[in-house]
Amino acid sequence: MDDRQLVERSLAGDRAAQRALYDAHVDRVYRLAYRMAGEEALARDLTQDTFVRAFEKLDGFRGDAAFSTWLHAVATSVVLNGLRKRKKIRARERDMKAAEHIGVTPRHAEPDLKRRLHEAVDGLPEAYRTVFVMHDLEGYTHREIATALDVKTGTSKARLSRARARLRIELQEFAEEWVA
Amino acid sequence: MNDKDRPIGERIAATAREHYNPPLATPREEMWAEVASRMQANEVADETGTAVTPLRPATSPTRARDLRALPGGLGWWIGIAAALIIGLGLGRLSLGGGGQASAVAERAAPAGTTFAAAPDETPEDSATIPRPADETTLAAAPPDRASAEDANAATRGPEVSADAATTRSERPAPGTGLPYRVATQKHLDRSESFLAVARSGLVQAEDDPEFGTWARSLLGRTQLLLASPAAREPEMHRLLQDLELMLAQIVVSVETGDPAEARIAGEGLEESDLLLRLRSATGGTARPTGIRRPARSSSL
Repeated sequence: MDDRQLVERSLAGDRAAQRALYDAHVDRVYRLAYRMAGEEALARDLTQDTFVRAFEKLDGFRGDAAFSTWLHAVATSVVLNGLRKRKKIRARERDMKAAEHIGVTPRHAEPDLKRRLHEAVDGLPEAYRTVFVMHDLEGYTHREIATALDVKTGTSKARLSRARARLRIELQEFAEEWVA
Repeated sequence: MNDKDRPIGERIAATAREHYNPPLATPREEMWAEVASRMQANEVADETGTAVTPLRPATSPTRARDLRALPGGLGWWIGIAAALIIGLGLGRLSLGGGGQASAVAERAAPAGTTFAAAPDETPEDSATIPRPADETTLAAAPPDRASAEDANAATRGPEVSADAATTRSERPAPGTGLPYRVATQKHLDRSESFLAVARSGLVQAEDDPEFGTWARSLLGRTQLLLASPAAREPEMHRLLQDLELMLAQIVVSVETGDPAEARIAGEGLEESDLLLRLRSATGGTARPTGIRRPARSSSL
């Protein structure tokens, strides 16, 4: 049974069809949520929210595009909104923690490639990071990304190119290590 | 990407694939249990009607039926009388300077007044925001530019500028009140002026130390608007997001002083249709007020 039939049956209240849709797509949604969130609990929440939202809004799926495309648009929206909310809460927590540690000298960790890479990707503007993660890490096509983010394909390509350029600049000091 | 950079770019991507938040195995069953239980709860709530509790119904059919059911068509007469009273009231307002009265009332409100939520806004959206008329003075924009804009706004009068900004916004964001719309319009005006200057290369960070301050101020305000009901309309939200991204790039390029960053920001501005969208959102009325024009130098 293909996605379209499963959607029809899901709309009729068939829980088994919903489960089949979930099984078919949950891995990719969870991977994206995890890549973007970096935390298991948050990735789990975002994935669950995505499917609850998708099943609630299933009657809005017109079948113009593939179900997976539509689902990933829902997922991207849920993930980005969830992360924005989390970011605001984190910022407040960080402010409070910073106030607690005034005058305390932080321990200095040895800078290494992985840590710097992590920081560099985290430091990308949200729009760049999203495209970089979706395309370079999770293998989404520019067309899928464009649909999910509601932008033009060219915009997706431009953002990816700028994200890569910024990462190259940020990680310049490791260039020799990489070439070697 | 040139040939020299390509392998490094690919290696960065490969390293990121391996080390940047590598996903664990999907907790399929646990998540499904949660999804199923939440959907079941929603279905039960829908059936019992506990999920949706409208704060204020759009229409009151029972009340309408009651009025129509009044003896001798009295309900219709009441309706006609009510329509006449409303019509008279509107007529008086339009002829008798009701706009001025409301503008005066708005001016009289202290800065930081808590504006009541619009009918379709949730109570959470009723936020304390700076009054739009005070926006120019509150802005952290460079003093010379801010004061120049203030002076212009003062000459035109606050009600004139507010009205102009409102009429420019042909499609106001649903759920956003007048203060938000006015603040957004002013902000878009300024951002357009700034980006136009940045693109034309009339001002550069080294020539004008206030350039970075100006960009940072606009960035901060964009982020505030993004978090406000002003960004509720998807189109406006996207516009503000793209503006935020562009301003962030400019701020980074100014702060680092890195020509590569400046080049990326400049390319981004050239490639995107942001200026065009800003112009269309502001009706192309942005004035490059208060901009000093130092000697020509290379653009961003």
